[in-house]
Amino acid sequence: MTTGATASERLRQKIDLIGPRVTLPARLLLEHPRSGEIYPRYLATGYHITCGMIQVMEAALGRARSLAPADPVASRLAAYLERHLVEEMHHEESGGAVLDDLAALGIDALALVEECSSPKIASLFRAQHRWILDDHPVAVMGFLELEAYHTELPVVELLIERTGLPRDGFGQLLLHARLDAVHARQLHDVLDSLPLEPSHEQLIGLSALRTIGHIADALLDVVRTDTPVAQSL
Amino acid sequence: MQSKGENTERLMSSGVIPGPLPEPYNAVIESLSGEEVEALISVKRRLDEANASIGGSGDMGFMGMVVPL
Repeated sequence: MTTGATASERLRQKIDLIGPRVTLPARLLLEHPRSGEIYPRYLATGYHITCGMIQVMEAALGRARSLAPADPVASRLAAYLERHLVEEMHHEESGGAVLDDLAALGIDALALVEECSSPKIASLFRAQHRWILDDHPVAVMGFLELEAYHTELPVVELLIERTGLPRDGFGQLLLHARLDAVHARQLHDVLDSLPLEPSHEQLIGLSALRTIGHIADALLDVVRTDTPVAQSL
Repeated sequence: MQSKGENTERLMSSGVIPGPLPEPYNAVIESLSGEEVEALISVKRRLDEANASIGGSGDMGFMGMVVPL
């Protein structure tokens, strides 16, 4: 690389090329006249992203550990993932905290998350596992770059106001609005400390761009559907 | 005048960027793999189509993705 910037800055510049429409699904949710009906389905789709993220991190950690003796990138990545997996487990079961938020909205959480499983999200996680196993586990850093696109606290507060839903149904969004600025800084510090080759940065870039594309697609499907969620589905 | 690189040409012809970008973006663009270029084109196209289908102006402040992770 010849830019003189850091790896995390170059990754951010790649994502900048998509433009501000990265946040289109969130804006549509916020502006939807029936955002209170759409939000549970949006959150249930997020459940699958949360669960998949834990599985992808575990797969990357396993692969990084096996490569670590001969691979300094994998070695440092494994140390980071060991810490970050603990930070991301907000419940005894992965995704359990999102289920608690859905239940606080008076919804049958398990039924809704089953209904909201998205082929686009499943396709993203198949690609992540393939990159981790066939290319290099550092691909997971592209997925985790999502943490740099966390929701700001005032946006969550506005969403609570506009949906008119109980605050307890926004626990995970409120938590991550506080935590993810820190997590994103840690992610970037680790990224900038890894002895990355250009091929690693290209893999991380591909992983990040595909992650943002698939997740935005899946969330757009939710905000453009007219199907309301019944209470106690 | 700086000559346009292959990736810049591709992203311009696909409407991802309006023209050659200044540094540091120019160097980042020319360091992209073919798969990254394809990903950028497809993500940008899908988001632009979605925005057009709802009559959006494209004028958006940053608000994050509202995903619980």
